[in-house]
Formats: sequence, structure tokens, C-alpha cells
Amino acid sequence: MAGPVISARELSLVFQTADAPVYALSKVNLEVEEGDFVSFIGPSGCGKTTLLRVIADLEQATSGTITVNGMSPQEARLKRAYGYVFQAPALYPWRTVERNVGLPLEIMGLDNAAERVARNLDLVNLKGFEKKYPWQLSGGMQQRVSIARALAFDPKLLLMDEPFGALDEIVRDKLNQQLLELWGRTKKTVVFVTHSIPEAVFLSTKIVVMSPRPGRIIDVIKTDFPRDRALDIRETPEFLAVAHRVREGLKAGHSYED
Amino acid sequence: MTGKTGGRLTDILYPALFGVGVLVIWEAVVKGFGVPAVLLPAPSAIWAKLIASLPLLWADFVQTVIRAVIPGWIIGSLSGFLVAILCDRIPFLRRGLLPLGNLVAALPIVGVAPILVMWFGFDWQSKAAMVVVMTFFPMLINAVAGLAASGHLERDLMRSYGSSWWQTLLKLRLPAAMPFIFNALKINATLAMIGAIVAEFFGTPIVGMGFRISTEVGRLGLDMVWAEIAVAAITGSAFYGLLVFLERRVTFWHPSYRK
Amino acid sequence: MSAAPAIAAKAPARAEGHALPVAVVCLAILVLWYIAAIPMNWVVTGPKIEAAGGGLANTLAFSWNEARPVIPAPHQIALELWKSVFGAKPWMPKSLIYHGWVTLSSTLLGFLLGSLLGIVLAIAIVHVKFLSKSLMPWIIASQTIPILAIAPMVIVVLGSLGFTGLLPKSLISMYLCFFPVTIGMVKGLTSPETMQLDLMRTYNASSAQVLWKLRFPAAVPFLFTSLKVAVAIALTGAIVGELPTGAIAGIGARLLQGSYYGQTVQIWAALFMGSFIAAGLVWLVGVAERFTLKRMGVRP
Repeated sequence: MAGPVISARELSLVFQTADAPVYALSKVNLEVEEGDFVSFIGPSGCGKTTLLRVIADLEQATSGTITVNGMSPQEARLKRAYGYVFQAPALYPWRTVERNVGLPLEIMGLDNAAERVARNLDLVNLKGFEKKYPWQLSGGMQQRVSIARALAFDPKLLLMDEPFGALDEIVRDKLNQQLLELWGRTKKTVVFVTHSIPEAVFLSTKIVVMSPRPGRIIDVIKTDFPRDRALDIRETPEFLAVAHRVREGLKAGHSYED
Repeated sequence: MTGKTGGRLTDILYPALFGVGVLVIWEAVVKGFGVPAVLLPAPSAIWAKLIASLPLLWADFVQTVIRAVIPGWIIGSLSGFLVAILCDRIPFLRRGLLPLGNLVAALPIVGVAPILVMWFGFDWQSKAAMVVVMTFFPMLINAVAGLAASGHLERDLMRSYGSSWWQTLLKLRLPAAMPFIFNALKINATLAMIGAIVAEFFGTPIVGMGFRISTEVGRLGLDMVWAEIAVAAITGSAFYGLLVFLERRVTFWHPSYRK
Repeated sequence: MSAAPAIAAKAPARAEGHALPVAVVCLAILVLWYIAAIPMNWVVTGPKIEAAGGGLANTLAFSWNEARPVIPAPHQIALELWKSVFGAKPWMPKSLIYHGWVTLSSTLLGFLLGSLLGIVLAIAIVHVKFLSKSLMPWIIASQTIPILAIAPMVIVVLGSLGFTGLLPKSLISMYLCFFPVTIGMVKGLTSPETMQLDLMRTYNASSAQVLWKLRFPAAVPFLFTSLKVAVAIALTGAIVGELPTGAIAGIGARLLQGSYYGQTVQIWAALFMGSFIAAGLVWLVGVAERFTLKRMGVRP
């Protein structure tokens, strides 16, 4: 049985600006086990996106260690260990939906492309939309294509940076539900960045509460809601208790002050 | 007129009416006021001269457009594009070359025509060289801008796939750069025509559109001049129109094509 | 006929990271130029070098100091420029200042007229739907026609009507530069967002008020960008206007003379002079732009 999928020790990222050094991440310690659904939650500037990007080797830490699948983030990236979903769909407008989902497969030279594309589009309930262009789809649908694309090459790890932030609440609720079902079916490890407390509590097995200046972890909350939960769970006392604990953590980290 | 077809109809009808109107007024003024043909020939006279001089016009067209404009446009645009890719690979070169390129683009490049005639001789080669010089910089500037145009998120996506520089170039940055590249190709089409014709003012064998214009102007054969201009106008518009058509096919995805 | 989406300010070195690369590229060009001069001038200098006995010193000396070279060495051009600018009285035909001024004057007149025409046309197009549909396609089409090609005709026709000198050349410059100004201004005048226009409607503002208070200020950045393009084209138009009728004054005339009499260094000096004027004009527009935008509170 392999160790944790992600393991960070005393991870820090400082960058120099014209005024003063900015401590984007300060001595972060974190472990993510296989099959976890981990959310990073906090206000802007708390380092949640930065931490995700360090895991993805889109940025490099200035001190501390981090391993992904037991190797450095760079090796993991070159071995195509994860799929990344951005805040915006970032689909290529000159490609149809199916060619967009097939993009990583082309780059990585994987075969069976047609089957993978069809399977993953089905997974996000977009069967039938293969030949459409991105601008012909709504925002929510485009984001689902983006998720299908991230899953196309079957990575064990899924990194998601506020994927539903630009969508309205009703669409968001629907997508939360679909994401949960997808996670249940595929058994991936998911690291999810959000600034919505209900979203974090609803989706996660582990919630990492962060706060800014310097970016650090305030609290790590484990949840054990039933796997096949529905959206109404958000009104139960257990749910509200966890949400309350998250909010307390944010307050402790001065997230609600100017 | 309402509705989409109504709108499209007026899109074509109004300018067409305007153009026809101008021609009619032109003919009427020239005939009515008895304007001498050495000053301003009537459209009918120009048409007559055009029909009568087809072989000559064709020879001029071959010399200027086929031998100078087209090869020069291809070579100039291609080299501008290749240097842009080089600049992309070597950021130091880009930081050094681009400000110079912007500067040169503002200079009266037509001024190098006599120098090119001196180097490449009187025939079409110096005209093609002129076109190359004129079309190189607009393509360089636009292609560099185009290569930088792909979004930050899209590039991070490629990085997350462990994509190589070539793969990123071919799959993301080149398609994203197409609107800019076509912008330069269209600009270059016009510049190419101008460059070839003006270069001929500086010396050419006895054939070529610029040659015909300057000699006929000297002889006050203005109907022939206008006939050549008409050919130049049709050629320029056709070239431009072809590029617009190709642009639509290649960059169909660009937001500017959506209502 | 703009050569770039926007022409950068003339001095590239002010931005961080540009000064050194530009200097290195310029140095590289200079070095390559000197080196290229040797084989390129061989046709003329070869015999002389052989006659002097060959050898590196002779090769360099002859290649870089030939009176009728195929390509003059940079210092030769610099010398000729110095002679023509400082070594001759500015009102004499020997002086490049004299020629430069002749070209510059028609450029400025044409530029002024063309810009005014462009602005007026743009305002008309934005406010009168009919004009937009009937005129715009023709304006765009007119630019696909090599307009410079009819410069000779314009000069001759106006000449026979009694207009010579400044006016015909200015008309050519004016015709060339009204287009970028029109296109740029139309883009700028229609750039305000729907929300901003709706706000004006809630105030029941008249078209004129909307023009002065919203559209025109929004169009200023676009205007300056097109003015930079326009001034450069106006200069090109003025130069080309001097070619067909064998004018005897102006940068174009100088180019023509140098071409006829085989005075290579003279051609290059005239070209550099024209370039300095062009760069200077674009820089001046840039200065005016920075000044205006600063007064308008735009972020630098």
C-alpha cells in the first residue's frame, strides 16, 4: 500500500515584490491520502490556489518539501499524474468538444482516443455534444467539458481550482451533485479549491481551512457524511456544525477583517 | 427593411448604390461640363481604353503582380513569420528586435527603392525585393503579438500535460495567433501592391504597372492611367477579398464573427 | 495601410529589459553591415585593391571608403549627413535641412487636413446609419487600391490646373492618412460599453452631449494610435509625391537625383534624413499622447 498521494512538509513560498516580500505560503504541512476529496478553503490571498499550483508544478516552492505520488511535482507532471481544471473552462475555441477532450491524448500520444473521449463525455452527461463548438455551450456545460478533458487520460489525481466559481448558484448545486457522483464512481483523489463554505463541506472528506498574510493552514477538518448524500444534507445539524467549525477557523485566521 | 435578410440586403445595396451613383455623377460632370480628357476622362472613355488595351494591361500585370508582388509577398511574410518564431524562442532577441521593428515600420520604406534597384537591377527582382522589405515588418510585429496572445490559463494547461515547446506551438499558440497573422497578411497585400508599383517609378524595363502609369502621366494619356488604376484596384480588392475568405475559414472561431 | 496594430513610442530603451537587447541588436547590425560591405563593394573596389597590392589593410580601406559604393559604410553615411546638415546653409539646395523642410511642410499640411477629415468623417459615420453602410465599405475598399500609384497623376493633373508645389503633395498625404484616422476614430467612438451609453440615456442626454462627454474622451487613445500611423504615412505620401514629376526639392527628389547620378551615399543620407523626420514626428505625437492621457487621468 503506497504512502500518501500528496505529502507536504514545512512548505513555503516567498516572492519578492517592489515593496516587501510576500509570504504566499508559510510552513504548510499536509497529507492527502488516496481516494480523499480535499478542499482548500479561505479568502483571496490565503495561498489556496498557490498551494494547488505548487502541487501541479505550475509554481515552485522556495523552501520545504513536497512529494506527489512519491516523486517531485515536476516528475509527477512529466509523468502526467494529474488532471487540472481551471477557474475558466480554457477550451480552445477552434476545436469541437470532442477534439478539446482529446487534446491531452494527442499530446501524450495515448491510443484509444475515441473511446476515452466518448466515455468521459458520458461521465459528465454531455453525450451528444461531441461536434459542438465551445461557444455554443453554456458556461456550466463548458466547465463540464473541461472536467471531461481533465479525466480523459485517466489520471489518479484531479486538481480543481474554483471550477464552479463563475457559475450561478443553481447550476453550481447541480454540478456539485454531479461531481460527487463522478468521484464516487471513479474513486479518484481530488484536491479542490473553493471560497464557498457550503460547497467545501458538501463535497469533501477533508477540509483544509487557510488564512492569509502569511498563507497558512489554520485547521484541518475530517468529515464522514454518507457517500451517496444529496443536497438536502446541507440543512442537517451535522452539516451546520462542520460549517460552523470552518467559519470559526476562518475567523481565527482573521479572514473576516480588512 | 427589417430582419436579417433585410439587413444583409442593405449591407450590399447601399454601397453598391453609392458606387454606381459616383460613376453616374462622374460621367455626367465630365460630359456635361466638357471637362478635357487630359484632366479627367469619363468612365466610358476609360472603359473603352481598357478594352482596347488588354494585351498591354496583361503584360503589365504579369510584370508587376505575378513577378514582383506575389513572390515578394510570400517571401516577406514568410520570413517575418519565421523571425517571429525565432524571437519567441529567444526572448533576448525579441526584446531587442521588436522595438526596432516598430521603429522601422514607421519609416518611409519606399525610400529604399532606389537602393534596391541599384543592387538587384532594373528588372522585376528589385521590385520583388521592395515588396519583401515592405512586408517583412508588419508580419514580424503582428506574428510576435499573435504568439503572445494565447491565454495564460491555456498555456498552464499545456504545461500540466508536460507538453513540449513544439507541441504547445502547433496546438495552441499558432491557432491562437491566426487572427493576427491574417491581419498582417491583409495589410501586406496592400503594401505589396504599393511597393511594387512605386519601385517601378525608380526604373524598370519598358513594362509594368508603375512604369505605364508614370510614362502615360508624362504623355497626358490619363485614360490609360485610369485603366491601369482600375486593374490595380481590381487586383488589390480581389487579393484582399481572397484573404478575407480564407481568414473566415481559418479563424471561424473568433468572437468577432459572432453577433 | 498601418504597419502594426499600434506603433510603439520611439524610445524603446525606457522599459526595463529593453535597453540592453536593443543595444546589442544595433551593435550586431552595425558589425554585420561593415562586414557585408566588403563582398558587396568588391565589384567596384576589387580592381583598386588588386592594383594597390591586396592585403587586409587595403581591402578594408577601399571597401569602407569608396566614393561610389554598392553599399556605403555607416561612417560614410554619417559624414555625408553631417556635411549636408551642418556643412551647408539650410536654405541652399545642398542642405538636407532644406530638402527635409520641403517634404516636412507638405507632410504636416496633409497630416492636419487628413486627420481633421478623418475625425469629421468618423463622427458622421457613427451618427448617420446610412453613411456607415454606404461609405465604410468603399473607404475600406479604397485602401486595398495602391493609392500611391496615382500620386503621379494627381500631381500632373493639379499641375496643369495651376496648382503646384505644396498643395498637390499635401493632398496625397491627406488622402493616405485620413483612412487610419477614420477607422481608429470610428472604433474609438463606438468603444463605450452599453452600460455607459445606457447611463446617458437615463439622463436624457442629447447626441451632442453623448459625443462630447462620453464618445470623444473614450476615443482619445484610439485617436492617438491612428495619428502615429497617419503621420508616418503622410510623410511617405509626401516623398512619393515628389517622385513622378522629377521634383527638384524634397527628400524624394534627393532620392531620385541620387538614383539618376549614381550618388549612392547621397541616397542613403537622404533616406536616413527621411527616417529621422519620421521617427521624430511619431515621437512628437507620442509626447502629445502621453501629455493628453495624463491630463485625462489615464493610468500610464
